[in-house]
Amino acid sequence: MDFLVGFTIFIFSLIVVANMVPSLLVGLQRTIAIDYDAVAYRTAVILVEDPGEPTVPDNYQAHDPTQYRWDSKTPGFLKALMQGSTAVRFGLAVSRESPNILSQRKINLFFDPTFTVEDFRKSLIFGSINYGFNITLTRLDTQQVLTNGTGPYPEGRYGYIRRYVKIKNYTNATITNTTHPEFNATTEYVSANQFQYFRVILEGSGLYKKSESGVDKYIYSPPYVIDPTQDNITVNLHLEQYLNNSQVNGGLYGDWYDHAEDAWKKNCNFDPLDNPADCLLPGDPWYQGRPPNFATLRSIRFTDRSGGPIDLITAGAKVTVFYHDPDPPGTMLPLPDTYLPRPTDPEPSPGVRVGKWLNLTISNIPEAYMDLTKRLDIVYTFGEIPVYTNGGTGTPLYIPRTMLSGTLLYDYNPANVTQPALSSGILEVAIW
Amino acid sequence: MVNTGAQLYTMEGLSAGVIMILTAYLVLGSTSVYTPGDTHITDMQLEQVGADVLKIMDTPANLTTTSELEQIVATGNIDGRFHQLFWETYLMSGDIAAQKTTRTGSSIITTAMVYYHNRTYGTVQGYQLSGPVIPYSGSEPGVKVTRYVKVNGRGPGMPPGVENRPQVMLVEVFLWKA
Repeated sequence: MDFLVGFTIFIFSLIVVANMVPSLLVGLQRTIAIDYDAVAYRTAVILVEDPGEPTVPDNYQAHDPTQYRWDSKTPGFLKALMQGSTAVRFGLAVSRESPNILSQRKINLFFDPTFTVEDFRKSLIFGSINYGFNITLTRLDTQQVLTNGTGPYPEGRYGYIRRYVKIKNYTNATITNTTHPEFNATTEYVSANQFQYFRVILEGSGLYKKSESGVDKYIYSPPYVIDPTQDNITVNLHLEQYLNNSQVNGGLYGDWYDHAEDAWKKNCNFDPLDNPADCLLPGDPWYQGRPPNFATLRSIRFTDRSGGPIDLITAGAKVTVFYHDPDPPGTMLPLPDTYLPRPTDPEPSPGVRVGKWLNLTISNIPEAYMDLTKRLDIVYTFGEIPVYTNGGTGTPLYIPRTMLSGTLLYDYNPANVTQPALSSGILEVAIW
Repeated sequence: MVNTGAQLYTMEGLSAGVIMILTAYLVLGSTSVYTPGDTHITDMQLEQVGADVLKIMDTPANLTTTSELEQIVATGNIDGRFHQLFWETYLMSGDIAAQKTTRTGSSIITTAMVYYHNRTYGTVQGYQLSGPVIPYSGSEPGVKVTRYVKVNGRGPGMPPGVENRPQVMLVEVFLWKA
């Protein structure tokens, strides 16, 4: 009897313990499940700390022309690469040496609607599992929110990581009469077919290197370098402030003519108040009976150090120009391609009338045209159609409507160029 | 007729059972099998986020300014600037997309120390840069993130022990969940 009781207790305990053993292994079973946090972490590390693939070394030197940065290509080109055998990896970092600092152009490209969920799975998240994901980048300064992914955050469990980043902003040069009065030329007449030039110089050696105590050094680390091959270059000309009128250039011509204190009145050989018939009549397209409210832009061209023409657009650069339309004064219009002529094209005539502003942005300057040893010039040509005295029958006069001429160095001088600045942002990755 | 021989069986069975259950209890209690998704991953995330925030605070916005963190270390934590930036602007930013579903971090408490080398005594000394809202009880899981910050000289917010020379100071932030 006692034996039976003892044996029962023993067996009963054994069963209890045996029941406990499997629960030891329960924890291990969960490793079969996907660790979503780890996938999210991995994805965020690729995005934030990696410049992506394909890429080139950060030495700003001429390199094998078959090498390129992934962000120097269009979304369509990259999509074709992904379909092919070339490895493409989305990485948003400016360079390998500067984790957490993201390139604005890479961000723009990454959030381009051309790319599908499948493209991101193939070139960012990797693995054979079709994860759901949500990648959100929030700029803390502008509150701009960019999102990629399969949809909003799910109700259930998902892996999540948050990374804090800095976003490298583009630079721009804004030329106004206040900041750059030296560009106000004192040209009185322009002879026939003589143009006025305004030049912006991007000097590779000045942008990438400087000589300090006789030693060449890279000027700034990639987050702070003005790199035309990676960053957009913008030049905004406040033309209105350089126009040939008394509001800006009052008295420039002194007593050249008795009553013609302003150059714009020189389209009349005589005092227009005395003898209006000698002037162009109102209604004439080039009538200048009032101060000019526009300049005549002939073209914007690109040249290298020796002045040799560069076909930047055919080479893959994107040039966007907007000009203020003076007739009637109002909106900003995109500049027709005719005024961004190929090197062999003749100077377009008659030119386009540009009012208050002329804003140019170049992105994707190919590395073939910009490295340590190269120079790229942006050359604005302004030229006038002659005005004729005596109601159109007299001597042709070429009177500049804009006084803008000179050369601007696009460099690290804050007086010329708004310097590269970093803005804070938050990158969030969720995987499920 | 009645002897104690059989009772031994009972006692033996009973003690064997107790020993077995006790052993199983001890085994189960002492072994903790960490699996992904457990707390240490969360700690890793907190550490990553903290290190990121320090790195971002120590990145100057442009070539002519010093970083926010450097300014705070040099001038002192005026008006709780450190907590304001680290905690409000970055860590608990209102712009976090996932906040509706995962923002449980408002219970994270931070405290910051600055360590410097005192050449006179040849020791490393520290002072508090930013204090915690609630004191640390010692039992909550916490992580430490650090960042070396370059300062050009003695700033107004530094204790008398800091010498007036360019030096590198260690900023250490302790984060925990209250």
